[in-house]
Amino acid sequence: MGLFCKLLGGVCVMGAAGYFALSLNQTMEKRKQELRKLYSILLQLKSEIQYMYTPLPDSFAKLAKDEPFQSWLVRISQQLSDKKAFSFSDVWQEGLVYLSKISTLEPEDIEPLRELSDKLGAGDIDAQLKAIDYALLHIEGNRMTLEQEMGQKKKVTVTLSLFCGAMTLLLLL
Amino acid sequence: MTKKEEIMKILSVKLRRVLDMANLNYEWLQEIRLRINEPFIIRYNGNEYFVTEQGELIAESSAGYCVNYTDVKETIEYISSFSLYAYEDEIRQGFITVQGGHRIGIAGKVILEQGKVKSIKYISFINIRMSHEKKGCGQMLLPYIHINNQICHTLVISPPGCGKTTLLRDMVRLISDGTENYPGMTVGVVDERSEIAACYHGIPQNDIGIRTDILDCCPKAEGMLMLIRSMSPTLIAVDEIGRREDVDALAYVMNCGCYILATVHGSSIEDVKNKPVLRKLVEERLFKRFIVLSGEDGPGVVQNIFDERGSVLFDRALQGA
Repeated sequence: MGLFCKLLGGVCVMGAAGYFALSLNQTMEKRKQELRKLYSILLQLKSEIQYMYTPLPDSFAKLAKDEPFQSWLVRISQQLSDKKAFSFSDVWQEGLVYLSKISTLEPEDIEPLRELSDKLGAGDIDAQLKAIDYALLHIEGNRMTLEQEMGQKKKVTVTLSLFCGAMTLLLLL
Repeated sequence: MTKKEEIMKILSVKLRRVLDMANLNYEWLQEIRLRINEPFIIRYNGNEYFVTEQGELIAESSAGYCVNYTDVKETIEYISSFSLYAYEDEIRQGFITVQGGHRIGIAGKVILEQGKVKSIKYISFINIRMSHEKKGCGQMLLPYIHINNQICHTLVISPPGCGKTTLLRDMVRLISDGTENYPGMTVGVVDERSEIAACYHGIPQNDIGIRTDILDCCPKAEGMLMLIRSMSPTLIAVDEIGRREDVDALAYVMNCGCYILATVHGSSIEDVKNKPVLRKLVEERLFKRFIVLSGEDGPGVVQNIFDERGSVLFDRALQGA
């Protein structure tokens, strides 16, 4: 009976370590997908500004088609349409705080977006396009770095988690 | 959305508060003027007023709320939905039409490119002109502009600010919808300055009839030809003709068998004849009816209606007598 309990405990500890590694890897995978989606959103925003001359509230409403950023984009569009904020910058900065809460994006992913706060809407079209290009460059850079490191990071995460699990098991035994 | 909500949505937060306290009837509000470091002025029920910070309407400028840079900047942000780039063409022309059909005139430092206006920066002056429709003001004109139930080429002559656009809009609506005596017909409107239909995002904010197609913000001469090609209207309506190409386009449209309803700045047929570009319209009897407005008895009041030979069909003075 004692041996059975020890075995069951061991399985639980190793299972928890494995689950922990898996969830960390999933977060990385999700971040990669979100970076890709963010890139695509900014590209669409760029074309809305460049070719359609669509005002920002309408652009964000158009972009808010699907997850994972739907609620963020709807929120920004709504706030801009309400015309209660003093400037676009206020709405955008608040929106980025919300984005960091609902996504797995890291601060370094959000930083290029922060740069857009005083450029979008305010400048002429060229200035805005340049600012979006700059943000796109950084986001793509972050995604590529993540992709390059992901394989290695995934292995390290699994190995370390399982190792920690095994060490815990040894200590408990 | 009510007229009040439409206006409140485009004013700065501070000005919203001031205007809200003023407790106005927005049907009587005609104009709002903002100038940086100058008092907040409104035109209300035919009179000009200064508005105090507590929302009182006064005649003395010194106690009026002084509009500051932030008020104007914030108002411009709201007018353009935080997207000035989307209104580049409108800014170049000096006005933006907002929801409800209200026209926002802007002035500031003009940026030129190769001698032409490219944009306006340091926008410091804003004039909000409330959109007002006067439904029915063109009703009495319908019998005069029809011969044997056939509409005539008609020119409305009026000095500025005497209601020619308001009259044109109502005539377009009546012609398009049709009345008991005159069946509705397809109308094309070339609305170069978004004044007739006051389109916002392509949707007319004014009632201009069920059979009306609009080319918004399009140069008149080009627009008339485009409408002929694309929408085959029975009648084309244009506001404020005056350039040579407008007159040439009018002649072309008339030759295509399409009727014209147009307006022009002037005080009488003679005044129009004295303008080199417009003389042809009268002398060659291109128009069959001339409707003359004057501001003497208030805006939108028809003084005379003439036919192409100059015979008087309607004279307000005689009618009054």
